[in-house]
Amino acid sequence: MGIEGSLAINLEVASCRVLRVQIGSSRPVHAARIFCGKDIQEVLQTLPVVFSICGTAQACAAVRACEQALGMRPSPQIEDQRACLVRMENLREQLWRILLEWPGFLEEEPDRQSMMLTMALQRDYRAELTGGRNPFLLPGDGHVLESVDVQDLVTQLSGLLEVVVFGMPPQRWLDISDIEEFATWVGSGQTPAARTLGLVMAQDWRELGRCHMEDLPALESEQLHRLLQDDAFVAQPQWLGSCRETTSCTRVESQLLQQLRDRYGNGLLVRMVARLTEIAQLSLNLLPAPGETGPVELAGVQNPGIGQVAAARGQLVHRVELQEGVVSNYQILAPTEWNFHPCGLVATGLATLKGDESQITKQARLLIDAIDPCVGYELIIS
Amino acid sequence: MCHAIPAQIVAIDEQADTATVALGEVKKDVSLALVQDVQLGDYVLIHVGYALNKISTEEAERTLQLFAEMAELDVVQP
Repeated sequence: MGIEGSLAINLEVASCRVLRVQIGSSRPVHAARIFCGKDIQEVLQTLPVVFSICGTAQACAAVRACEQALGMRPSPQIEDQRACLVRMENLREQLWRILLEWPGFLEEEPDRQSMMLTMALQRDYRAELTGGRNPFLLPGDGHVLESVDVQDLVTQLSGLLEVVVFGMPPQRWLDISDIEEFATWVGSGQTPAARTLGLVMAQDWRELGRCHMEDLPALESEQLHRLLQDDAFVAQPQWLGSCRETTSCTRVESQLLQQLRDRYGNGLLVRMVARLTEIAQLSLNLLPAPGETGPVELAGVQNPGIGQVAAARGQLVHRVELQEGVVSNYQILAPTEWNFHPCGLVATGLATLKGDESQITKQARLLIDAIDPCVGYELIIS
Repeated sequence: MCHAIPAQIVAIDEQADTATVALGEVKKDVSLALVQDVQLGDYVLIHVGYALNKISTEEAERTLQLFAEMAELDVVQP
């Protein structure tokens, strides 16, 4: 087992049905304890290196929690920089699935070249936006450039998406507003993304994994303080006694998605279209607009502090308790713990699969990848 | 959770665009398709079979030290 942990997903199959689903996790969910006893600035610098998958979202949640605990207020410009960088990271993470994993379902080669280009654009975007400074340190350490020009990088990214994902400009793809027009786009098979959705529709897997699972609601700080002190909650969270979903599917809206949801529920097709929709929407929101971020609300010192971020895989929560500038308690609640809870979204969706062993294996991989753990997983069919 | 692990490149297969990386005594093969200009001895962050980016030796050592602290705190499950 690696330090990063993994998931073991066991499906017990008989008579072409899934009889039982077991999800085991070796993820080090209490890893944030290593920050106890460390200076707050040291934690802010090292945390995104340790939690480097979605490191930007992790850094953002951390600094927000620390600012709340210290009663500090970031400038709107710094908060806007942070929001832009989180959006760019979310876009990269969503693209990872589409460029590197979706082609595998078509028995095509992953598009590593486009992924590498995306990662290079992300690095350049961050450097240009921040001037090489770190906006995820405490106010005063951040830096706002007088003139920022990321337009060219955003245009390059948009052009890449047009060629390798949508086969048309992202805005035009977002204008697809009904199922018939969407089916025409899928039928064109212009890109691996369109062809993967074509596979899902041809196999009649649109409703794969459809199940009843309520969205995770917005959680208030007071509730989170109480819950996050419980190690069992951090490892296997539930809200009001039941499992909840927090994914891109729970936060992305469009006219097309609403029609697909009405027809196919929260099955595979809606999840994949939600991912594409989020990519297109994010690509249109990468230019800084500090005026739109609005003032950061802060009601004095609230120690322990809570920081929340909509990360690529769902809602990410950090809680930090400080004593004289030193961390005395730190908890992180990641979306994977909600979605891959032993009785949660993935387990419930997998339990609905039908087919022979080979079909169930392929369906399970599609569904798991659509919900997306941030660690490797082993799928065992027994 | 949410970790990419620093590992040192101990062999490179240029034709396959892969490398063998060492993490302590464990060795594994990873794709180099997402990184450029890596050489033997470099440290890279690895995640689900890919080298994500090159990091300095100092940064790798600092990160590995934090992972070692995690192991000591018993937050890594057996």
